[in-house]
Amino acid sequence: MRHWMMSFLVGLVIALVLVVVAWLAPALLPTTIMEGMLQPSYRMEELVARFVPEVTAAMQRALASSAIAVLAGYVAISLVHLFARPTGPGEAGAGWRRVAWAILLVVVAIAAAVGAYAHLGVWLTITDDLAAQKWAASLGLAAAVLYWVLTTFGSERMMRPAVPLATRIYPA
Amino acid sequence: MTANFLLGIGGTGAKCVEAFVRLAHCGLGPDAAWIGLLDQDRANGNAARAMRVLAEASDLRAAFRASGTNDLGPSRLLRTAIERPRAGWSWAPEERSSASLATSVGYGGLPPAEAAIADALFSREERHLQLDEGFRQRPALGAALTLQGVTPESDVWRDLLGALQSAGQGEEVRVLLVASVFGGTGAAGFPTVARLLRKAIEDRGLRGRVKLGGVLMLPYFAFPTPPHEDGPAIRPDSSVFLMQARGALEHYAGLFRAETVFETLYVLGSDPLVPLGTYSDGGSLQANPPLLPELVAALAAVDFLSVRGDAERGVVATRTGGGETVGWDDLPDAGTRGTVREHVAAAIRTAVAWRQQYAPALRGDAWTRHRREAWFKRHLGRATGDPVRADASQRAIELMTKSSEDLLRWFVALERGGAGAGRRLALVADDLLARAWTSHDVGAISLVPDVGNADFTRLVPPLSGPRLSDVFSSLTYGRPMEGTAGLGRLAASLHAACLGRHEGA
Repeated sequence: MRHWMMSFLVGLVIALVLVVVAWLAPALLPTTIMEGMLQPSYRMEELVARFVPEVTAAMQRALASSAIAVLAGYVAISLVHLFARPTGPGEAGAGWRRVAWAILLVVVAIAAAVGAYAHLGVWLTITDDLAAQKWAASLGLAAAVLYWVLTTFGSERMMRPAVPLATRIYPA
Repeated sequence: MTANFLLGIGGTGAKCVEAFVRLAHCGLGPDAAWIGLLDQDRANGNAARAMRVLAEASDLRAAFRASGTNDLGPSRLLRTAIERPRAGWSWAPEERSSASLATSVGYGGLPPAEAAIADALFSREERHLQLDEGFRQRPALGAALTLQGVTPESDVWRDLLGALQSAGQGEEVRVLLVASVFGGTGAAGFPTVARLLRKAIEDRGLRGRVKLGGVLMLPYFAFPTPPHEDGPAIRPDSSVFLMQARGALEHYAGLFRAETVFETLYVLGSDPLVPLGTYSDGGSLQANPPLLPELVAALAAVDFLSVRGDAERGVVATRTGGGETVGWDDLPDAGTRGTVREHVAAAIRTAVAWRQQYAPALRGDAWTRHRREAWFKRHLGRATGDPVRADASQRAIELMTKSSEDLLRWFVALERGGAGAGRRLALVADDLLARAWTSHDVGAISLVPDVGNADFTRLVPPLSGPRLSDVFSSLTYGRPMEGTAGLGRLAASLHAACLGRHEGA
């Protein structure tokens, strides 16, 4: 197997596991988290029992969409080298490859945040808008960090110089 | 001490030696070779260029074969250690400047009988011809001066015989002479030096240990008629080459019937003759571009000295397929079929990749911008030997770059003018390597700054090679070669990748 494919597949498997974990996580989270997202006026016992399952489903979609944003960003930056392999020194770690990595970082963060807010925002009538914003911002930030970590450890050697800090962590 | 000796005699001999040095750069030469030139016209552009190439090749190899500091290790690139004769790269039979036959033999003081013989053998113009620019296509002059100059006491002879005597250590010693049959110095020196050597070999009882070979160049080029304005009384004229060659061959036929001079004799030529664009009486202006028969002569030298086939093959002849295009399949191969093309292709790709991709990334402090890239860390980051910033490494980078560009220009010049009218070479893709070239000066060829990723695969037709990205992937993922050090580690991996023995994409 080609060297670049091995690192790509490792990163791909990790990203897919992230999506699965994101999908399953809300069911395992304490219900107090979902309850905390409800508007204060919805925190009556009967309304909590009525609306927490729907907030949990929204949370599931928000987490999954954030994880999918990370997966898509990782695959996109990895595929760059399939179509435009560097031909010599400097090309791997500089210029448009680094710009592409940075743009994808921003895109992944925004996609995760907007996706999360869109899923949670459906329930704005029952969820607290401030809580939804905080969750969306947190998921956007987490997606950016995960994308960074994945591209650090899952990128092939030629891409590493384009990933800040990656070459300091990896040996040749 | 080497067991291989190559002596180029005259301008053609020098050009063939230059071609051999190019092939040795590509990794086709033996492990070591003693190489010298014998030329009365040492200022001659061809000989001067050959001496420069010899000196640069020697410096480059010393820089990249320094054990433990900068070493190419088992790579075939720059394999041949070129030993410089103690008397210098080139000698002249008559070392004094402004000498003539008359001053050399002391014509004015000769007894009347000997002066009469000199008068009978040489015209007044020949006796007084200044020899600074060679023997001007007068082999009789050359023979007289060579016999006069190559004596047991001369530096030339002491050096050559001393090396022969102490060489070998049990290994068969091979001596190869290269010269033309139609010029002045070469035509005179070839049989004269060969017979002197043969006699020395017999006298010293070295016959079993020393094999003598020759590459005899029949007429293969023609130059324009000399201009009518003032010039020397005796001037070269290529229209008499064929006639001279015929006379010389008759002489050799008689000589070889009477005695064994060479164990192997390679006889080369070109029909039709390759026309040269300019005329020169000699001296520094006589610097001709490389021609196909010289490459074939170099292959003969590789065959005799490097492949070391049967040393007693008699006369070896070869010819092209007769078509308009001469490609790699038309050339005699040395060793396994395809070896020459494979190694020349690898060296050309290495030269291109080095000058356009790797040298700029290593020169000065440019390497600091790449020190975190995998190819750098893998080959130079923790490599044993000199660091890239060391003066010796920086000098080696410049030597390799200059030598790479020189190699590319030489092959481009060969490709564009080496086969003559009505015939075309298909050895390298010169249009990808260099811009249009109108001068006859090989050094004036302007190389293109960048060969593209796809074009890189087509540098040596008809086979396609690796892409630049394949080479880079190989340096990124491949293991450095064992036994290499410093910059040599990178150069060895680069050459291996260009041979097509790469890993990665």
